[in-house]
Amino acid sequence: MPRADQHRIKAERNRLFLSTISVNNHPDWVVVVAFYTAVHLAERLRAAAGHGDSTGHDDRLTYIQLEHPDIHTHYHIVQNVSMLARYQSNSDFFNQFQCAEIPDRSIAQRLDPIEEYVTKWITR
Amino acid sequence: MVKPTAAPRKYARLSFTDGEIVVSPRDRDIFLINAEKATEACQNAGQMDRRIERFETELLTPRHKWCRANATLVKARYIPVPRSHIQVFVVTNSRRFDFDFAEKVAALELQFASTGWRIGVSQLPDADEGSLATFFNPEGALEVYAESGSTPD
Repeated sequence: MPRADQHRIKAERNRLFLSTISVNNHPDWVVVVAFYTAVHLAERLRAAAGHGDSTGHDDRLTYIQLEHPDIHTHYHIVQNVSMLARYQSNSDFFNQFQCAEIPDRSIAQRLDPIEEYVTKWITR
Repeated sequence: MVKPTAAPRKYARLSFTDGEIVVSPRDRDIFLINAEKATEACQNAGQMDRRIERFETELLTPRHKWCRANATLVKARYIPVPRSHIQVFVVTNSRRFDFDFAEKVAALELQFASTGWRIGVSQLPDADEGSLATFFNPEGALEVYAESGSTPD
């Protein structure tokens, strides 16, 4: 069972990697890495609270719904967008999203608030 | 002469009349299996007859009202056979992912979760049958169209 600080390091490394990806060339990977950053942020919350590990994406979503509803909308949207990026064809994904909207609508409006919330919650 | 047989339907189609759920006899078994599995994924599932009632009154009917209220955006919704978690796919009319609508979808999901349902609701922009199969097994899934008139024969 990874500790909270191990999830923090994973989230930070994912975030660092995210900053190196060109959104114009790989918007799909931008949202996938954003989601897995959010996953480790959620697991960091869970570990810090002594609630163990999530058993999967569904279990983690339920945990966010019940224990941290303040970030639920952000997490839900990052997960939904990432799901489309992971499982659909490239042409479908590029029809559904404009590269220009991803940094603002998936990262600044969604992942950033999750990070801020987790940092505040851990250090409260 | 051999009588032509209709191709088997993958989905069980539900419709609503005056707010009441209508299930055709051929789809009744699929509906009951789906309802049973869905309520197993709910905290405090209760007795079977009460489970079906809860599935209808707490999930299907409110969700249908929500889809009707957002009918300009929602084409249909699908509920694959639940396991430990109920997954709902809301298919929109637009080819673009709608970030504003995603907030409404998230709010709906949280509303159901707060009443004990283990549920995820995802937006799928204008997905065709091939795309749907990427996300779930259509066998045994429930299909509901937002507008009753838009349900295909």
